[in-house]
Amino acid sequence: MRKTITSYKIYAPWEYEKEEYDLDENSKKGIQLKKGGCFHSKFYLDENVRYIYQLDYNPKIDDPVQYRESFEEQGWQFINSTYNGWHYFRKLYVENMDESETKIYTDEHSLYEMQSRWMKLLRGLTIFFSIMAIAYVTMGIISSEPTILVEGIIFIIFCITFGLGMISVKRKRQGKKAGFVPPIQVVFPAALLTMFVILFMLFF
Amino acid sequence: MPLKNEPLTESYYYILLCLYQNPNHGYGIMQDTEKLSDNTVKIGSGTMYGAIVNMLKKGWITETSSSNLADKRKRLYELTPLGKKILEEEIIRLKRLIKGSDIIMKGRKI
Repeated sequence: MRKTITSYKIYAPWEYEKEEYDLDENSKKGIQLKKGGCFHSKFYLDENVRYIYQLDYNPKIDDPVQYRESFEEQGWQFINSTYNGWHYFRKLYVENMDESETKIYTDEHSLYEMQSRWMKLLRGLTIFFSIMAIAYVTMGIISSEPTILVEGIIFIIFCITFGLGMISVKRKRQGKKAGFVPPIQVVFPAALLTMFVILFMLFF
Repeated sequence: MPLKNEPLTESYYYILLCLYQNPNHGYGIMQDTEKLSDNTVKIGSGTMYGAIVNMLKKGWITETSSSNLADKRKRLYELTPLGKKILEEEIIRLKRLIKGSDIIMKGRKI
């Protein structure tokens, strides 16, 4: 049995290219992806191979066999899918690979289509979080209960993060720099921790 | 009046073109596209899958089965009359573009 390493590094959807890059870099060092996930990924060690990775987002696949086949016929090996519609693929690395062979999306139209699929969801989530933010902040002020206000602030921070995340994608499409986005690797654990502390204070 | 069809993307155009003479499978379409475009257009898996699914939904192509046993496992796609019409209209549009460009580039009067 090969040793499995679990990584808890998370990536925001707008950082999917960074995740691909990190997977490629890890593979170079002999750390190969076994199972990709939203909150944790599993790796195994094998220094004899090197892969390149690609992530696809498509939560509505009518025919999974047809889907996998269209990747396999171009040398992509399917690794796994996450519960929310991300799919991990890898291909054996060959020296001097043509750049088009290392990408699953080869034109702007289809790439933007894929990005729009998760951006639509993110936009819905941002709207929902802004409503929650307004509700919690208002309730917090009326009841002068600081914990409710803190929860409201957490919602605001998520709205800002998601909003700037989506803006960063649009900026990159225009050939500009991504700009500042609060790192999800800080925002998410900090929010969880704060919520945990609030719950703890309520019960004890 | 229905809105004019949007110009096809290069990938969509080549996929339809590669299905015009006979049914083909995804990998065949990709290879033929490379040949037809002098290796300038390569259709990646994600792009191909998305385009095929979209075109099946729009009714431009259908899935068909092969009579060749060795090919039986592979999914074959075939142009529908609507798909043919879309491609032919696009070719007419492209020819018109080239005709216009020729007039200008050769210094002739409009």
